Amino acid sequence: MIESLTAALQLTTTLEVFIAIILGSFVGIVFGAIPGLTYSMALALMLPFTFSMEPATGISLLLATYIGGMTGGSISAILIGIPGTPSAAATVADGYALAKKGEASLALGAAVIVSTIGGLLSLIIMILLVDFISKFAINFGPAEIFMLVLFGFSTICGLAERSLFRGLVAGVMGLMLMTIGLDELEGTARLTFGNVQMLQGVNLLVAMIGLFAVPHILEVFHEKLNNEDKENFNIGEVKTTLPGFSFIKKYFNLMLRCTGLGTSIGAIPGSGGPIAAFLAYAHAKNSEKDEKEKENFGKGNMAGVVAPETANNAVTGGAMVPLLSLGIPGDPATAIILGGLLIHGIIPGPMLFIENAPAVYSIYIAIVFSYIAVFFMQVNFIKYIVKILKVRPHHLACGILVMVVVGSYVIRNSFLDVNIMIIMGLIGYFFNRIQIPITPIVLGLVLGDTLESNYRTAMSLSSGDITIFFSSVTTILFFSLIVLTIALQVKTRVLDIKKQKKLVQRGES
Amino acid sequence: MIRESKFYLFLGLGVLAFSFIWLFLVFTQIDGNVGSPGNAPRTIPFFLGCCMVILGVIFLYQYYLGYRPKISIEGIKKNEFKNIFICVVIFLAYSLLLEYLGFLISTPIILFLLSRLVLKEKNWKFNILFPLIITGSIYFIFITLLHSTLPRGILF
Repeated sequence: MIESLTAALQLTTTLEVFIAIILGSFVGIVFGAIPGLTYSMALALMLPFTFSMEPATGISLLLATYIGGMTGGSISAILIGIPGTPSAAATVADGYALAKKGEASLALGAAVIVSTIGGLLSLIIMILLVDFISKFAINFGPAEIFMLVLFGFSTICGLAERSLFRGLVAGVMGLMLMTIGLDELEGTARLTFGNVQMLQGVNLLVAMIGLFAVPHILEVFHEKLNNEDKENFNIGEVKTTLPGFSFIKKYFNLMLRCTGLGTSIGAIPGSGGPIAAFLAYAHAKNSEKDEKEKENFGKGNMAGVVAPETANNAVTGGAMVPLLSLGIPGDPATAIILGGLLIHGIIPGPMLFIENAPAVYSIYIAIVFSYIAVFFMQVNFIKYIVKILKVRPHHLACGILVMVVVGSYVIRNSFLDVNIMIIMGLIGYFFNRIQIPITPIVLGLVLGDTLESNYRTAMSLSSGDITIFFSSVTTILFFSLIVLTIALQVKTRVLDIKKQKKLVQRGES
Repeated sequence: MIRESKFYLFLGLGVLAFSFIWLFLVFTQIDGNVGSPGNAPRTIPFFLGCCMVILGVIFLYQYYLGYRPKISIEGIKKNEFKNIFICVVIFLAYSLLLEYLGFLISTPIILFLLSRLVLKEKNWKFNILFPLIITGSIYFIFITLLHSTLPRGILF
């Protein structure tokens, strides 16, 4: 362990890594702070830059972007009352109320300090959990892995937008796209229409750039062409005031509870920051014993900033648990980070600890450095960061357009990839319009290969006997969980519909 | 707004049409004489096509039962199609220009045309300086700092 840790420290304490972390933090904060842009988009745009970097540098850049984005969402939530990211939506009520009372600086300071504490505490939980789960998962065979991935997939489709069947449409489409190209087991071309370039299949990163960045460009240009251009946000002088030690003492207990909540929610594939933040907010409100303080929620209670911000940053540690220990990303951001790891030959899963322990430790160290960099930037450079909110959306979209085209091209030096990116962007745009979640497409693309290869390996091992998928306690457990997930989703939907019908009947009577 | 009761009808029909096209392609575009039954290159794509058929049928059944989406969905308007078409043409034009003229020439041209003619931007700083700054910065980052590649045109 000491050897691996020393090797990881050597990998991560270089000038390139520091520059990557600072750059990633900055881009993440900016994309997180600007409403409409997301950190998933920032990650997708950053991916092409990582190809020619050393693995530790590239991964650090992605992790810093992720952490910066998660933290940056609170800036616009507090200053203008619009969450920069969905995860910061729960911060708006009390954060913006505090800003209106003239306490914006203190709210920003509180948000940044609890974000850092929440993120770092979740890192400790993550290290313990990753190690434990990896040791358990190392004995999994292809049938167990198949069932595990299927379980992860069912939760992701179900929880993505709380609409199981629409989530499944997107997930199945992602899996379908992954089957295009050369079948590696038999060497057969699949759905390539005789095009040699298509043998490479749909590149995961190209698809992610298309799905996350292009819909935003289309949306902004459509608004501009319709003369519905959104106004930019002109915020005056802003600074971050860090609260004193008494503040940490007062809210430390709440922070600990919200960290536990955020980490646990983050570890469930498909849940993510917004759910954790809202649950933490509700928890903070319900656990408040002082009636006066309780009534103050939504009107500028500091606990209403502390709870969601701690929880949504604790999600970062939780989301890395299934990614590192099982190779299953929990949300789009970790799916993109997985893409980044794969580019550099780092394959997450239980074997990662045995095959490449320094890589795991360098991820842990990069997360710590990223939180420090994000904290430093938000405290010292907030007045410059908020100036970016003044940039008009279509100006930004022009820059993003160049980035997405160039980024898709440089992945394999192929113009076919640029066209695939455009098609994926159109799919993303129209799916957004008809409210089909795009997260399951990404996860279908990411998990498709593992799902198919493990299915076929298991079938080969059992000479075509399908009962191999029900031959161990683990596979039966995962199968039961899949059935339970689907049943719960269907039950929730049925109850919703009954409620809707009752409301309609009441309205008619 | 899409008439709420029709949403699942359109979705179901769309998903069914897509799944039948997919299944047709599975049988015409993947060699069926490879592998064993239940474990061939066709198995998973065929299974996925069947899943889509089931999902399409579920949506039609939901329509039959009178289900409606939780959040009302705006229908896609004519001018939205037009604007999206313009955007796709810009993307394709940029891709084509990159192929022939390379990154350094096509990027300022496309950004200038995009801002001046499509987005009707009147600020000359944005029209002239922005394309040059973006092109220069990306070139510097990819070529000088990262030693990566950028599209080189056939003509230049």
